[in-house]
Amino acid sequence: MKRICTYLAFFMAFVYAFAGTYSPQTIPLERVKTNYTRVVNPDGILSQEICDSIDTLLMSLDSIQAYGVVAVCEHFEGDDPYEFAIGLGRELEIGGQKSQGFVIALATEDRSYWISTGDGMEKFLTDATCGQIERKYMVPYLKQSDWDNAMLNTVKAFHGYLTGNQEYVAELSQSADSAEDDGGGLGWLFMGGAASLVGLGLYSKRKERTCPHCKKVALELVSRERKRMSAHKYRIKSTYKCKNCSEIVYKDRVIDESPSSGSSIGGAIGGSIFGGGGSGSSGGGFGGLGGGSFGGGGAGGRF
Amino acid sequence: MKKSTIILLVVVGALALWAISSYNGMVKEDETVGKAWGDVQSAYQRRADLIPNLVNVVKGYAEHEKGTLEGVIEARAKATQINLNVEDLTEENMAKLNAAQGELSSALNKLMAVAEAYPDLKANENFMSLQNQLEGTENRINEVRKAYNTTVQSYNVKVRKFPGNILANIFGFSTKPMFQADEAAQKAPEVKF
Repeated sequence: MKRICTYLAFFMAFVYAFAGTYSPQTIPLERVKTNYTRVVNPDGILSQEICDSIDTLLMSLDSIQAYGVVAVCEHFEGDDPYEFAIGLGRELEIGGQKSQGFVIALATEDRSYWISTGDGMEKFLTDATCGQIERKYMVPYLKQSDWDNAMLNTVKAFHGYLTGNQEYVAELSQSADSAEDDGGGLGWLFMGGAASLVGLGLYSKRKERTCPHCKKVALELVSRERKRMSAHKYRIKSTYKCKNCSEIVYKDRVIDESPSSGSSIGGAIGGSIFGGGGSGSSGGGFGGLGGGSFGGGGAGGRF
Repeated sequence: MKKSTIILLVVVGALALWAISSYNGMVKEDETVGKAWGDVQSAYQRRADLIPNLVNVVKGYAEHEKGTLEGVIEARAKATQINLNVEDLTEENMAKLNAAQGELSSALNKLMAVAEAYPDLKANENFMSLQNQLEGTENRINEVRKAYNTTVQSYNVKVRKFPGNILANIFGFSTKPMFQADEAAQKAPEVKF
């Protein structure tokens, strides 16, 4: 009986010592992999209400192909938040095949945290931006052991920044602009780019519909013919009739789609703007930026 | 056609197919190593690019640390002088590169340690951003070095394994050096009370 009690005591001590200690391979990820949730909370540190709020925010980022996961437990195996966060990103393959991803990891008993960004996401969430988010929205709450608000506010900041919410973009771009930053000022940059594209589009549309005789924007398309000239080149012949002076106007345009011609730049720019540069949370995507894996980007520390 | 001729043709054909496939495999691995090496170089370059800004920010708060700042600038200059193409990768060149980059790392560590003594500098938002970027870059360097070692290991196995080594010798594929752990990291730290 004494021996059994000793074994039991050893077993309990073993279980207690390793309870709440996770590696990316041992932390339960089934619900994340099946897209049921984006929060890994095996020790129940975050309240269900907060988990739901975080889920809503992170899942709404799917529309811009950003895939974020939050993991909160008591200990990371080896007490290494960096290895845990990067390993979790790789385990979930969110830096490569699926989309541009990021992982926010917190070990409450180790008092350590790390935000890891996938290679594709690094262009938008630089190390400096991650560091700022941590300092402004995460660490102050972590110091008070307020895990719920630390995680919720961090996710809100990520969501706001990635969707171009001016409150967050302005706040987070301020010092990132003055420091050597590798891609900050995201919201303004995207909005400016989108405004230029829209302006350019409207201008060329107007020019195309202007009658060369009466100078009125009154041309109406009658017919359009497309003729291939070579593998990458084709000619578009359009016939217009002016509604004002009834003049018939013919327009010829040669489109060169060869890789060296640069005609695909519009597509590339369009793809790189979140939802065409708007400040909402829908539309568009990271199309054409490439996925990549987790290569060490992000920031973290201890509190 | 004689049976022996047919057998000979089949054997020659099989050998040719093996040679083509092995050669292409080696070329592919060689390219992968080249890409991994490019990533290593760009991670080092990224670190070198951060240094001027970092030095400027620190200079504004810690002018008395002239020696440390100059040490960083000097180490950076030495490190950026060594630019190796994948074809130049030999044990000797790799050792030179490691020494120069190691010197830069240790100069940067000294600079960061110095910064600890200046609370105003530590609280400066620009400095904190640069610190985050530097830390991220060090992590990236670590990751790309690991990735490079993995690709080189796979390439070296292909080049050294029999009978692939015969083809490797004929076509001039030689083994490539890998990154070794820093000498300092291999020594157990001495703790004195």
